[in-house]
Amino acid sequence: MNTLLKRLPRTARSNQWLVYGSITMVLLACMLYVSLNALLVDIGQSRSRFERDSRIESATFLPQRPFTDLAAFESDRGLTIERRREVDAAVPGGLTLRVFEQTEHIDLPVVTAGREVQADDEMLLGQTVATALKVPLGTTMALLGRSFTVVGFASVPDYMYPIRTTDDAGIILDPRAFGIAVVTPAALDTLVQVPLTTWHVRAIDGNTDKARQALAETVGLTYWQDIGSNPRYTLATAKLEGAASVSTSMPLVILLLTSLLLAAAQGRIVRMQRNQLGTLKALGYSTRELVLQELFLPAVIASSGSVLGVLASVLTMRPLLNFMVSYFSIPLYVATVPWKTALIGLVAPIFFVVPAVALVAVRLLGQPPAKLMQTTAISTRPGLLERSLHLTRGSFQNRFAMRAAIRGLTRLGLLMLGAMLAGYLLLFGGAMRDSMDTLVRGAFKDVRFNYTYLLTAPQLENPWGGEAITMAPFTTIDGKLTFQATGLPATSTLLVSRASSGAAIPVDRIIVTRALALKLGLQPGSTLALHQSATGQEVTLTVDAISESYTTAGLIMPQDRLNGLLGTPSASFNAILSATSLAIPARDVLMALSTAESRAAFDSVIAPLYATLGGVAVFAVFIALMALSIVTTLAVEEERITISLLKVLGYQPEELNRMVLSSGIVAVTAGFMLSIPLLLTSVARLFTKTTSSISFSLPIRLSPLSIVVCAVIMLATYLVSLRAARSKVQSVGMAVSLKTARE
Amino acid sequence: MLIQLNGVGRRYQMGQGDFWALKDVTLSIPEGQMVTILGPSGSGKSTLLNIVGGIDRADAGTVRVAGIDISHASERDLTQFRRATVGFVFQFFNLIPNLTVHENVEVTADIVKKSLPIAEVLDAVGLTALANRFPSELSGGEQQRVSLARAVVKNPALLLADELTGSLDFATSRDILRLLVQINETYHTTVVLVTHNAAIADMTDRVIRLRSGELEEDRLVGRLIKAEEVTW
Repeated sequence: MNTLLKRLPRTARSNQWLVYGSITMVLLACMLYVSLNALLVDIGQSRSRFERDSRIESATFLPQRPFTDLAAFESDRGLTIERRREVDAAVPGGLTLRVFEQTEHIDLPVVTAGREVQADDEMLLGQTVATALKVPLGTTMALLGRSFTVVGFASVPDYMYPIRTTDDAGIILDPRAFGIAVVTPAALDTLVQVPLTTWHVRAIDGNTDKARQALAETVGLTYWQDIGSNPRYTLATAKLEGAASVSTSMPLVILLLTSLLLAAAQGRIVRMQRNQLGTLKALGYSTRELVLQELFLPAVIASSGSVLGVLASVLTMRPLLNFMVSYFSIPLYVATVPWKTALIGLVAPIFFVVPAVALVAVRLLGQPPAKLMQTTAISTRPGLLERSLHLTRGSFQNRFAMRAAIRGLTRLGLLMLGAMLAGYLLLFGGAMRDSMDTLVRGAFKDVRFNYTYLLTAPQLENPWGGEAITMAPFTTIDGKLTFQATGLPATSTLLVSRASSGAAIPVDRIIVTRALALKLGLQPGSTLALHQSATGQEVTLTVDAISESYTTAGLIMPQDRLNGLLGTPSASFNAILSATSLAIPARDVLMALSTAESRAAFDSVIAPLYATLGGVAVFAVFIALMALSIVTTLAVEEERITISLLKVLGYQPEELNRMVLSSGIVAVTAGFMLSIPLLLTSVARLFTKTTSSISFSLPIRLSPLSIVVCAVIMLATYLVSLRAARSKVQSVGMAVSLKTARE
Repeated sequence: MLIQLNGVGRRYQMGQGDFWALKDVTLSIPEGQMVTILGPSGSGKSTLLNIVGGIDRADAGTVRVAGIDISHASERDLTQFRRATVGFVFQFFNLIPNLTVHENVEVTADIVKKSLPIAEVLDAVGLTALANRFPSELSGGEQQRVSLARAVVKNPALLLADELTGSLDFATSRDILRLLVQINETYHTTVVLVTHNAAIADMTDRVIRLRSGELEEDRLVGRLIKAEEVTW
């Protein structure tokens, strides 16, 4: 038995491409699986601890009246309430910092590097900005006419996903353009700009509805937003949940397909050794001994690939986490690879590969040694399919290629599996690009205003210009989704809703956006039951039309009707849309949103997105190259005797390539085609799951151009793998056929 | 008797019907005898050898070798039988390509309890100098010597050789046959030799001739010539 083990390193050396290619494939698949899962676990655990340590708010609100005795109210109702002031400060270089005063009870900034602020000329800088702009500790920054020294980097829980605005276009994070900073309350007092004040409540028993009710009764509410409706929190959680789906499903699919491919390839290698196995069995080796022997190389490949993959993910854990931290502003409390994930990564390839190869070996070795020694790896008897095709027409070379393809159907199936795996990865990048592109284009297509001003209180007179509208948040009865209702005046021209036909929908209708319709399963004529987020009052509406907007889950209706629901005068308004900047006094503005800034944020995000997709494509091409090369190499190995014989008969290398390798293109094409529905189905499920609790929907799109580009990349990869196979065809000696025993 | 066959038949499926490669073969071979099985292609020689060696199973009759009924033995017992009792030499050598000469012999020595010293066997077949070569670095005759050494190293009671000179030139063939006789005489090994060369039969004790799967002739010849005198 020990002597037979000496074959292994020699087999590995003589099949280097196959062995090292297989190890690399397992390594990549394991690394992907372990890294993504570990990232998710680490970020998830860090997030939980962050929420606890920072005492995250239950909601943000604006009271209509001041509190008479805040301490007594807090103690009576089991609530913690704190006021927080903020100002936006423009920093040279296109960066805007939202400067908060240091809080003491709710939404505490958590310092991730450096120390807390101790003096009025010190500041904490948001972690995402510090990472993106590589700002060192000790830097001096000028904010609104005052100098501050950065003494630490920090994360604030209600800005976990630090975006400037929470309107449709502001969902894209741009850490080079926007971030947060924290200074002392005294320092904020000295800044030249009047700060905006928001109030934050933390319900000790976690009952947010009760807190809202108590506040509405005691001080009245002009604004209310649960933390669960705050995009700066939900986008982080939704993206993490989306990442969870990707982390657990996609790498597992890749790991599974890789293991299957490896198992099938190793199974073929076992079959190719049938003559040797027959001889060893004739010499007295038992089936068990030989099966164990045949399992050794696949087990070594699978285990070394998985060990290296887990090691690589351990080594890359910190940089990957740092990358994630530049995306989500969450302090990193945990940076380890969970042992369960590592164990699955280590065991999965062996778990799939070893039993599959064992099955092939046991079935094969069930035959008597005499039969094993007589029969070649590929059956030489025509099967039912080959006979039924009556291959009598056409050139001999074409008929030979057809017969070789039919007899090697399993091998072609393997090639198809490899092409499916690579096609899936390539098209995943294409689909993400196309879907984002559709979302981005759709976000701005019918927006004819550049500024949105949310006012602190409803107004009846509009001395500032623009289009006066009403906006109010509504929540579904189950409380799972909060979205904006927009009341438009009859003369509105700045916000156009379009039906799927492209026609504009009149503003006197109750219109829901496609994003909301998809989430709630609405059709024209559907009844929609909601409650007002601020007061909890229930309303029921009938949907008249659906507008083709995927970016915002929203409701659009006549302004007077919305005012009627809110109980405000029919001509009142609380927001203004405008094509130009308006001079509204700061005390009247709750929030000012700029579409131009959102567009800029989109543009700055698209470039790195393409870079990421390019990375996915390179990874896909590498997997494809490995998978396709393994199978084409196998094809040459299995046809060695025939290739050798045909060489003896005088066939040229080009003719042999065509006869032996040409049928692969059919399998590659079929695999690529099959990966399209596989991808569309799985990505659609992923998108639906990811965006279920946030205010926009991601339409799944895969353009013909993307399919063509991916197909070209795939074809080019296949041709590269064929080149390697062709050199193998050329290296087959003519003596092979003369020395080998045939049936 | 070392080998006892009684009414042995072997059937193969060919297209729609059955084909009997061996029909009702009954014979016995005592220990130490050197036997040649002769016959034209398709006469059932190799099938008979495979059944005696336990690498194929009979569809009819019983086969007893070294006291074991291998026609009804379990897969486990059959493996043990091959391991302990039989040595094979194949026409196309069937060496393990990525093991050296020494290792190809060691592969068999590894699995038996009392193997002969590998160095002694390699010396006997004249391969000591080539012990670290791989099969692809050897001539056909040298490869067949390795195959012979691999079969002999476990000191089997029965040595089966299927067309062992079929791929070799005259001089090399005589050399191999001489080694076979030497092994038979030195270790008292029973040797059954399949060939279609009638001349080889004269150097053995007995000739069994098959035709169309049936026993046509079974006679003692008494080693009329030496291995060196075999002609083609």
